[in-house]
Amino acid sequence: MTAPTEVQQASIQTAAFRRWLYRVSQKYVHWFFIAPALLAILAVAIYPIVYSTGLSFFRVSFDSRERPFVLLENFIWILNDSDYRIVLGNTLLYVLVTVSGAFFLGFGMALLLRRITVGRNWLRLILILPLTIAPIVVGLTWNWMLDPLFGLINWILPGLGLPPQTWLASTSTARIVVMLVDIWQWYPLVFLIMDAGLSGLPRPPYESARLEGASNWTIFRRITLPMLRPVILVVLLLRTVDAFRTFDLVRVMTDGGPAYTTEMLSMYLYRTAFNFNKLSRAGAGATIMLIVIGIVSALMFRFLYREVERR
Amino acid sequence: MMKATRLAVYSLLLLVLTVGFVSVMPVYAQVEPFEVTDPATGARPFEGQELRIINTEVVPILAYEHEVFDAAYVEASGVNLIYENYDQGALLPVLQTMCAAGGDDYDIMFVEDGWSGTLEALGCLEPLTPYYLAAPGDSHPEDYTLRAFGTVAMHNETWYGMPTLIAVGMFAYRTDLFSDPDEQAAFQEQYGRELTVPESWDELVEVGEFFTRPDEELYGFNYRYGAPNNILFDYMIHFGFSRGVDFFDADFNPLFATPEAFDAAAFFTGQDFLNLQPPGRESFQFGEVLQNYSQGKVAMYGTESWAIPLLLDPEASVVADVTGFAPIPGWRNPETGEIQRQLLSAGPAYMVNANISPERKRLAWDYLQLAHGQQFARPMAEQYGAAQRISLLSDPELVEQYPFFPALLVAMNGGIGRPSEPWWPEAENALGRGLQALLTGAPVEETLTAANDEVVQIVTDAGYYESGAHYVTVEEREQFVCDLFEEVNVEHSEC
Repeated sequence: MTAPTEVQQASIQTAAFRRWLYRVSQKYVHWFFIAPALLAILAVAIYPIVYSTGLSFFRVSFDSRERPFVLLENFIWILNDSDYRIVLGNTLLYVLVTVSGAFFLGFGMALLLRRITVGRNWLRLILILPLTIAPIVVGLTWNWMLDPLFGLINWILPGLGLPPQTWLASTSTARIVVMLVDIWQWYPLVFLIMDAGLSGLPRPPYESARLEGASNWTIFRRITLPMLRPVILVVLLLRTVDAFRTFDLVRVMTDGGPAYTTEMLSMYLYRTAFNFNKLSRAGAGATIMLIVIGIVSALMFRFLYREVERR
Repeated sequence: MMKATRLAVYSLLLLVLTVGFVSVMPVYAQVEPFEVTDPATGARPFEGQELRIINTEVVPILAYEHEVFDAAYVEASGVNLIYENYDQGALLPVLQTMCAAGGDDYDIMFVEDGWSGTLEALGCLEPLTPYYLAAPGDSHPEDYTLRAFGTVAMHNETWYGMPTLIAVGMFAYRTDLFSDPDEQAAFQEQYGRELTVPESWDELVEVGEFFTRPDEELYGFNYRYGAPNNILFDYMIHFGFSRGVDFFDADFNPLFATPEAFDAAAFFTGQDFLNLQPPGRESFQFGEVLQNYSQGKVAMYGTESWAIPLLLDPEASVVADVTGFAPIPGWRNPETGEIQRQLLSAGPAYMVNANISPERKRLAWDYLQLAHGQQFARPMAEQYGAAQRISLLSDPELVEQYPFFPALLVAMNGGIGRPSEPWWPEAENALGRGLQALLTGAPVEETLTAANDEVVQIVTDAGYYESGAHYVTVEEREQFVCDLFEEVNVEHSEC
């Protein structure tokens, strides 16, 4: 047998290279497709988070170019700040009320819509209208409607035999009103997701249940809810993370007042960074907020995937 | 040897004199004389160039200025203005970010008096004295009152800007209500005295009570309580200063836990006083109080001078034709019977970005000396009743057209500026929130003392006590202005 010629050797090497390239590409091709998105996320999301967390360990402000390393000083200051504790409490209450309110209203609407056969699509369009409006516009519009002297609401109330109210000026009503406006704006998101979830449920379990004489409540509790659990958890997770970050609506409606009752964490951090020039303290506060949201999200994910895997 | 010694002595003397001379010279680069735009001669040395301005039109008068000043400047100079308008709350972060990065994105910056400390610390503000000395143009800095100029255009001893707005406390009232014979008779019967525009706090309450008629949707007056800096402004402008309250003493010790401060706060946030104002008062900010008066819902309005053009605009106010202005009511000293008045002077100036090139700085000065100079200010005053220069506020023709101009000049002569330290926004927030807490029924002394202590902590954290920092008094600011005018060889009647 003669030794391969140079040309044959080159050909063999090329073929081997091509086989190797094929194996590697098949193994790692998915990275190729997600690389652009990953780079974008790294640049736009990960890097700023890492940078602002890093800032929290220094003393950085707009009125000085010096940046001494202070380790945990900013975290200690934030956690000892009574204002931070107040806004954290406000934010947690806000998240709890608005997320559950939007969920029950949106899910309820989705369930009701299943029973309507005529004009369902038009009704769906009307129900999602609040979601199409920018939060700032929502805030401004409701501000005007709630104005104690010129507002639509206070114009209607006397006709119903009720006294006009100072909705956004009273510590007892401002917080509730802002939450209701938030629920009004975001329940359509829940509605859309739950409506899609309900549309995707299989029919056979329902048919079997009806044949066996199960009541509507039993069907809902034993069939609908369990099958919708992954969808419910996704929608709760989305709304929870969004509610934690609420800024524009509250800023426009009350700017955190009256007497700090509607001040949210995001507004507190914004003021600390850009009004009070304490960038690194705001970074520390944001890092703590990130940890809290991360823990909540991790718990929800764990619950979600445990349920999915169990099934 | 003797010759060498003599030479050494003379050299040493020369060195000492040189160092001494240099050390007392202003620490900025000299600018060679240059030509500026002059409509009288038709000089347009910067024609075709672009000037970048960052601004906010948070109050309408600033929009009017853009209409009048900038249009006239563009026509006179041939310069193309690139104008970016930001929300006021977003403007300072933009400026801080740009300055921290040493950016040259903008040539001219809208800088409120409270911001100048921060931006100066970032090395972002260009001193204007060299440019005035090189080409004074139409700037006429001596045409402002010392207090107004010292507060708005300078930071301590350095001149950085041309004033674009000087806000002082003013008092607006409904002339139709005060001159109505039936109202006068009813007031006389109820209070045993003539119905006049209130000059003191107690008169304010009496007249306010008289005009508070919820069934008719009319209330006595309204003030701003809705945001920490708003409530602090109205507290200080309309009540605090006249009661003898000030921000700090000479050693930066805050003065919000004094008997005078407690008294003024108790009055301003007391329920009796609040009940004379429209519902929702606890959340009123700029827009609401202006709206309430403009729509005829209140009889009197403690305002600032910037609001005057809007209050006189028939398209913006249904009571424009029946609005009069007076000095804000003062505190009647019970021992002397005299009425004490003091008010706040504040406002923004247009300042030059120190990070731009020398050529662009000359262009920026050209804009400042003319667009915000003396000759363009007159059309603004004639058209909108907005004036800040002494020559306009005392012009007989303009006074006839706008009778409140003399009162405005008095106010500008007596205004006290707010601090411009970098940490002032944080202190302002602490004090404002303390005042807001009083609206919910919190005890006055305890709450204000806590707010005062919080400010002490802020000042401590900033290292001011440790470094022995000195709080510039209003008299010292006036002296800084006089020193500046002496340096640039202009005369001012108050110096």
